[in-house]
Amino acid sequence: MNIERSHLHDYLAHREEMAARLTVADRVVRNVEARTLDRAPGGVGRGRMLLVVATVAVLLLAGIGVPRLLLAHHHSSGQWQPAGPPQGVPDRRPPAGIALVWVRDPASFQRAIALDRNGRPMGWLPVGYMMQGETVTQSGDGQRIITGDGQSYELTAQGQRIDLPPTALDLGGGAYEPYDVFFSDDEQSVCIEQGPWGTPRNLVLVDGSGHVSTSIPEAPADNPSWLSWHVVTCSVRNDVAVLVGDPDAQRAAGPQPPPTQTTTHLPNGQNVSSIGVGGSVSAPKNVQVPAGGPYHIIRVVRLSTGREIARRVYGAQTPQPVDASEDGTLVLETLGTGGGHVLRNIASGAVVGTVGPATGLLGNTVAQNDVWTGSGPRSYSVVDIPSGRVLWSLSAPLGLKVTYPALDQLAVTQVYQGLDCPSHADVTITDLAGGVTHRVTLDTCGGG
Amino acid sequence: MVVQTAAASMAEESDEADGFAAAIRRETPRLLAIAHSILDDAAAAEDAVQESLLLAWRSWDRLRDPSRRQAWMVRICVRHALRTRRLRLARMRHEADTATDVAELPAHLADSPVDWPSAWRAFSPSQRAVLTLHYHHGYTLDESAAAMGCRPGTARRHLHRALEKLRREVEA
Repeated sequence: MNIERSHLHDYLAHREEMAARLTVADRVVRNVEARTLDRAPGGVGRGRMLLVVATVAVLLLAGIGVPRLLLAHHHSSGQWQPAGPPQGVPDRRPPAGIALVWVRDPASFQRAIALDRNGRPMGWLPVGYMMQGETVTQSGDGQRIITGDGQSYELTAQGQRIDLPPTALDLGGGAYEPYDVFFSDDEQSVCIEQGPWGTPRNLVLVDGSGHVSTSIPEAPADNPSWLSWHVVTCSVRNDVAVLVGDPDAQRAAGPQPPPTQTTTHLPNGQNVSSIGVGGSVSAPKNVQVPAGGPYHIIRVVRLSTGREIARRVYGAQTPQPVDASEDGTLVLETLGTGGGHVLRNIASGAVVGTVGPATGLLGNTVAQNDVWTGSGPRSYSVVDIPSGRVLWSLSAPLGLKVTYPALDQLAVTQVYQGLDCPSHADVTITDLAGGVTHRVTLDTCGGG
Repeated sequence: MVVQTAAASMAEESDEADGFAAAIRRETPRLLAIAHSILDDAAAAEDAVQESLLLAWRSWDRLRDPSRRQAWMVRICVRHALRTRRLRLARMRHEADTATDVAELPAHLADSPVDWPSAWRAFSPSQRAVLTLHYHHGYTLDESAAAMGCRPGTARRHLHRALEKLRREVEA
């Protein structure tokens, strides 16, 4: 047996042993039990099942018959009311000009439902294939969604299809390896990380008409063989993209020279260079980064030209960049195990605030001093940057997915998927002010 | 009549619930290992397994053949992990993962020409899935493909490319 296969067996066994040491198994079991064992399989609570049984009995006794019941609820400020689309509702375009939140139609995986900000279904849009994901990738205002089977395309809320350049690697035989595709902050441009991981790939910006407006290499000009980059922010409004380099994947891809110089070009024309000591930007000077690593590097480039406008290098034992804000001005750095994060202005190097551990940035709010943060998929907060004070927060139930459809709005979506019966969609839409929460539950079990 | 129906329903629920409770206690560690192998991220693996188990619960009573439940849960978990989109939050590095991975690597792997933790991260999720299922859990390639929700040829292609990567690294 080849050494790589023999060691592969051993490494997989090692990984399983490491995974067994994760202390989360009990927590997972407890969480799942809490969500399931007081309910009947299929997701209907016991109390609700009894209610359904009693209702059916009453209907039978009354001789009304048992039409196929679809239960849907609309919750607004504590009041549950019947709502939701009836079975077999025809395709319908949503009204133009209103902000929308899209979810997959639980009654048909080939349609998406548009909800307004109050959680009311406003439109049913056929997408032309079986949607796989739980959530729909949408622009902030919901006027466009990205969809497609294999190669993706845009659909406007009015059903107009806009083709995109390649969004996946065609593996042949109907199989695709998808690239990362997401909307920029102007609500209509699409950013595509085009190319397989570990190859020279480009960040492609597509305008609202589906035309490529710019295509820039992800690798830095001074080290084009450094291929392991993730785009964390793609802001058309500010003409910047933020990329984070992954040193581990870089090493796995083969030995590559480290960057020989780390320079931050400040807006005032001053150039400063840095090495990752505390993640700070040092005084202007050229610094040779020693061989070895690993290094985490964050680069800010102009979307329109690809020109690098800032770069920060973080050493192995120093704070590391984990995220960047929507507008490309802030970077979130770890402070070490359990120590939380600092928010740093990329250009100036100044620390502008701190947030707790296991937190990520979701975006900047309309008030520039505030920032959305998320702690895993469970808790979302608006934080006042200077003070670190939490202004408002939402504890989302376990396992929910979050979309961020607008700066002043948060949508939490989950579509439950059974083996044969798509059964349940659950959407919570919460305004930033935190005063109003709309929840829509669409229960159905119909054909696709 | 209604009361009997409700009681019978409750009894069935109880049996199903007991079966599900036992299943999640039995399967969660294995599902976590598989999801962690694919996602290479403890928090993402935790989320993937939790969501997979909730999905499983939704259809638990529809799978009448208990002998198929184990494979079914693995399939849901693998597909869910593969579908997990690379969200920004999922990009957060979990230092403990990396530290544990490197620090406790067995000596012969640490001395290997392959930097295993780095090589593993360089694999795509699909490559990790087929390597894990095929080489560690003994799935055939056809079974791996079924669990991953792709065609057997695609699974073979993922495996081939992954082994090619390893081979190149050994040769380098």
